[in-house]
Amino acid sequence: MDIQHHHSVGLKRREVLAGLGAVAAFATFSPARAATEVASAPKGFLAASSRLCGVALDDSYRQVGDAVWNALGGPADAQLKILVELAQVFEDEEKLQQVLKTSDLMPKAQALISAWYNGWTQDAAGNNVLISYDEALMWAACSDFTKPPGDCGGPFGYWQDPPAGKEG
Amino acid sequence: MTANIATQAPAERLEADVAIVGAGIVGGLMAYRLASAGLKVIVLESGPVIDRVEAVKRFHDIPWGSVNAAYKTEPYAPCPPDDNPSAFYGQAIAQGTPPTEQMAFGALYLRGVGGTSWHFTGHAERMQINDFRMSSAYGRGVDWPISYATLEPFYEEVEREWGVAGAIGQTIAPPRRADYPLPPVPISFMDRSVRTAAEALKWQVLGYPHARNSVPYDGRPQCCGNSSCHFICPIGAKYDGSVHVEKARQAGAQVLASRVVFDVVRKADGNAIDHLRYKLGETGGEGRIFARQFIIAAHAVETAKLLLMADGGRGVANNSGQVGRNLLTNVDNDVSGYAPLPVWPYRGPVSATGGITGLRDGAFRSEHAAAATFIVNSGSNGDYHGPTDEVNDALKHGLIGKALSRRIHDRTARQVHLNSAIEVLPNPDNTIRPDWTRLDAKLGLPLPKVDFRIDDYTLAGWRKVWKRDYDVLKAMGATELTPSPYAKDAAASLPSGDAALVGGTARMGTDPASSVVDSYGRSHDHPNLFIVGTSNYCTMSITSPSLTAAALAVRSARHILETRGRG
Repeated sequence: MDIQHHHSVGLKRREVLAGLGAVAAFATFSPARAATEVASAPKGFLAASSRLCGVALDDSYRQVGDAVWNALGGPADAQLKILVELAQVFEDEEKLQQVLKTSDLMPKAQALISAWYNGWTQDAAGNNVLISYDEALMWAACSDFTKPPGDCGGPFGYWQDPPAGKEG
Repeated sequence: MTANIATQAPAERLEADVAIVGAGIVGGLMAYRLASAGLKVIVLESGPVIDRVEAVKRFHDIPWGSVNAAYKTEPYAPCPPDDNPSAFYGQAIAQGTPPTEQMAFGALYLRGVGGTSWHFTGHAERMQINDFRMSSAYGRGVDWPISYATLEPFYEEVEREWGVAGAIGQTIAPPRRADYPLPPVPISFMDRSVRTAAEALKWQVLGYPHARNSVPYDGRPQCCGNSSCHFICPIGAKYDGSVHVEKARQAGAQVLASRVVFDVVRKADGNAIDHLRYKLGETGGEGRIFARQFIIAAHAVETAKLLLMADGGRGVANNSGQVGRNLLTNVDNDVSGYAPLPVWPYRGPVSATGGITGLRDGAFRSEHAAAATFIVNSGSNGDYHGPTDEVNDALKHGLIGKALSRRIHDRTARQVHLNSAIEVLPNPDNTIRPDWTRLDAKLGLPLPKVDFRIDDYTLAGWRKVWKRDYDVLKAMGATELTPSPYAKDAAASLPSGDAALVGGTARMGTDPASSVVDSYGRSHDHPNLFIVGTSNYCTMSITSPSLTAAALAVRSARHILETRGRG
């Protein structure tokens, strides 16, 4: 997706870049309010998360997305809002990575990726917050050969051979 | 500080033919055998009833947890936390202390109906022939008062009760008279990948015998590779102590949870035991149980603690002074890295389906400790948290998007990990004691205090297996290996004390001056008191301890039935 033609997210490139400057003051991760707020993630959050995580996220991930959104600060977190817009605007992964590195948004992006992949995160007080066990993306990323522990893996003895279609 | 537990009017009074303390693998099996013979049996368990469905849910809700995550620790029955067990054991070890002086003791155990077996690996090895005769064969440690041949028929009984899977010639085991009750659990693709490299270095890879169903057995389903055995088996394909606790209940035994026994009281005339005193976990009220015979099967840590805290801290069954001594365990070593090609971890039973042999037994045991090596199916993350380490690694590299997901996938698929458990010999200075300066918050009972170190024999065995495991992964072409045993600073490394095996503390023997019980677990000091379990072990070996404890339990139960009424 070319940023110059991406108007559906309601944000143009210069506005995004201006936003990056505006959030520079938000140096810290501020999810404290998220623990008690239950808000739906905005439209585009799954698409942004998908781009940042490198895993396709369809609507079946909506509840998990809401949990991540809230755990990371939800609507009160200006950095998170900018990150979501930014991730939708930059279709090119390398360019997006570059922008994140040169802004102060990389920690927020990494917090988002970590929450999605690990299935849990920590709130501002350092308390662990569960996102999802089965939907943690570390398992989705490896779904061609494994699944979360505690889920049946297949018929008895499936582990003696490489996964279907794979070699060692 | 000494014992000071106030006496209360009993809120509960029980009577039985046999009172059993501990509803784990040993207590459940003995209760089943004795209740099936028509005796009135009551089992008192300090911890709560463990519900499998609730435990699985708890496991899912705490993905950052470790092996005890699935289980609720009740304040009246505290047990070591995953994150700092040595603090629970009252150890405060100054940095730089040599392990030959003091070493962190990291063994975990559970208090609850079914016991620690809820999260055991499910490996069901018999001890090796020479494990029973270490002194005679190798001039190390001590001999047991019984031999492998004595125990073999009881191993066979337990293997049928549990449904042990294996195959002669394919499975790690001493020589045996009959094949396994169940067909073997196949080794994993990762095992086979490691085997190619190991065999090139003249080491052999074999499968482990398993207490997990390779076919449906005894009303339990066939294993489907949930890969969570070390937390919990969600379908009950892996055997655990709750199986025979339930069988005991069906045979008429009464099983009462949340009863914390804290005193063993002698009869006024003679040495026989009259009754046990216990606390009701929920209310703190006191109960008493009177019986003709008593069995303490409460794990090597809690058993020793109970015997020593009894009788106002003067102790029972301890004329030898050996209760709480000779605490046994294994120490651990891990080598991991990345195979050149995918080995597909996180599939099949964990921790392992296969292992590298060659250092389990042999003439070398006169020089250095034995070691058991496990090819870990659950990747390089010791706490079985899956690819979490790879997620964090990718983030450290500043990756996002598909580059990140590809890296996580590719590195996870190539994780290869060898874990070795190394033998520790008995040492009377390695002890468990009740610590009257540290009391639990709910009932005010002492926590266990550990004093533990290893010797040069264990360290020599550790160095040997560390090099062997490193060489195997190197031969496999693995990269990014954990620190090399050949590095200049390798001497500064130490093994880990995290092995889950615990034994000793009430060892068996023929001499009442140097042992706590006879070979049937009967106290030398109290004719109607039996102490049974891994606490009876004279040496620890490197075999998974549960099967041998169960065989001792069956032998002891038979002895109780055969000798009952003879005074």
